[in-house]
Amino acid sequence: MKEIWDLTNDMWELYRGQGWYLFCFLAAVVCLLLKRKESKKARFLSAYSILMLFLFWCPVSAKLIMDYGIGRSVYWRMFWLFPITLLIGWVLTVLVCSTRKKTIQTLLLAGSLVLTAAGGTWIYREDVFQKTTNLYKIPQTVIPICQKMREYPQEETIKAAVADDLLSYIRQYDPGIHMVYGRNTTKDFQAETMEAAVLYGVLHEEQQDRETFVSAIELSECNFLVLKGDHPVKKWADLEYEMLLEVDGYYLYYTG
Amino acid sequence: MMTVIKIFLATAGLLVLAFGLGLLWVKEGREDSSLEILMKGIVTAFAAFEIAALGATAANLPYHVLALGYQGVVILTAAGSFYVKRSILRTLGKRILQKQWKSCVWYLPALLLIVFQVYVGTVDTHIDDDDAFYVATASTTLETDSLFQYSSYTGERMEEKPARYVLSPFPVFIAMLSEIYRMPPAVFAHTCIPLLMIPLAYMVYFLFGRFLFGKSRKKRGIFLLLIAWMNLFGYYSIYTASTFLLIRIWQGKALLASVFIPLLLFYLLKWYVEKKQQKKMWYLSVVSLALALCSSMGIFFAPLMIGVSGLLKCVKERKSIILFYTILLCIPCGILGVLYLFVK
Repeated sequence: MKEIWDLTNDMWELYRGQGWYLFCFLAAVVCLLLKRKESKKARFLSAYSILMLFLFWCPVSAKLIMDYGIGRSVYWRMFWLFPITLLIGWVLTVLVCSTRKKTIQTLLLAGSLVLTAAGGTWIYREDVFQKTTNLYKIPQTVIPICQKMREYPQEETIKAAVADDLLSYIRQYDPGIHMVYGRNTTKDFQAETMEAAVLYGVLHEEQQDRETFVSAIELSECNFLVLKGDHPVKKWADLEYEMLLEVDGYYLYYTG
Repeated sequence: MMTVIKIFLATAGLLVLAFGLGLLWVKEGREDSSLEILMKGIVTAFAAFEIAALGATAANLPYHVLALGYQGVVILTAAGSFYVKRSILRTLGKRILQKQWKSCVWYLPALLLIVFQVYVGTVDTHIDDDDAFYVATASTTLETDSLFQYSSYTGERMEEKPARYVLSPFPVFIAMLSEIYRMPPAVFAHTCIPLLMIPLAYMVYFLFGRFLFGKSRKKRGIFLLLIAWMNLFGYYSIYTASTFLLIRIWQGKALLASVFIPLLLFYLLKWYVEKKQQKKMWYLSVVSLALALCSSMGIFFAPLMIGVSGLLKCVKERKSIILFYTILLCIPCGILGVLYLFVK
């Protein structure tokens, strides 16, 4: 039970993040609770929120939800069931409109906007959004690499082993390009074949000898390889295979 | 310019079809607004696709059979609905003409924020690694004309279908929509989905606003403004529904968090508050299927929300039969949950 309690607490902190919206939500629930006798809507939304909070925090229900519902690592998604912005918005609107004097209404609205801005974090930041370089909205580097694989040479099946940075985007652009391993390998260490696991292991060793590298490539039956410029095996790739393209520090080789 | 016209025409066509499906739920003399009818239609379209895709996947049908079959049924049903419910259309038309458009000025500040959010979502780029599955599944579906038979990660044939995603085939829905819009799935998901789904999220809050504040457009406008404003500052954690809405709305789980969970809550609120909701409450099952389409979490969350709400209604009305109805409402997702355990 202590483990569940600690995990629940961690999830609360994860979701609370850098803001105070969760506390505003709790305050809104209390406000609605006080109004429950006057309004069925307030009664429902406050009772619903309290029950959901209880299900979230109670170790028994939390364990059941984690183990048989949505999983432990994403237990924070329970917060999606809490009507956080709805209740805060409702209570603030009632507050703003509680007076008939337009000056006070304007001040209350301005205060609400300042409070909610100060209690949150602006979403349109440079680390979240970038300028668009292509309509697919994938790293621009991926496109010339995929196009080059398509045009050279005439292969029946294109099968590539690609640097981790670009792994997630190749098949979004061109699903006709097969991959030796995908993001599920880098994220969850799940390789779909033994050959994929071998090549993944070889390409993620700090040091690798030439024979092991070449054998792993042959075993995987890939006909294209994409490496970052500072990859330890690049020197072997330069010796063994034809380099077709360099773009943004990534090197495309034909290994077929 | 051609792309803009293409997007406009496709969107207009889909909205008309959704409206037609929504009319199925409207009875003569009822006061459903145009927006509520549209929302019901969108939910119906989602729920119907969930059932159709499950059946097609289980039968190992090619993707194009699912897509053509589903589109055919939707078009015929919507056309039939327009014909049968034509008198309701006349009533709605009169209501729109009599509307007090001047007082809609209260929505202007919120509308500006929403347009800004749609603009950034459509024009700017957020790169998300989870698209290696979601968008690549849509691309793979079209490439192979199959349903979950090829790995979205590698393109190789899979020995087993991924249980979790088979039951929530939202990427296949995206694939179908991208075909309608004549765009690659990655382009459609990253540019058109924000254009379509961000306004959809705010339509849900518009419905809430109307239900909470009645005829006061001023209060509704202020409420919507606060919601839109809070979403702009919702990045206090990367896990918030606001973050998912504005950053990656093309993913099923984002749609679940920011559109369909609030929408289900809206209908549950109505169910609790309004008397004589007996026949209307079956619609909650349809909404639960729409949640299931978006994400496998919807299969769990929908019955949880319905269960909690049913319990509250039972306590309020002191009728134990409501618990029985609540269990019945959870049956569709219950079946999906059992299927998931079985397939897993």
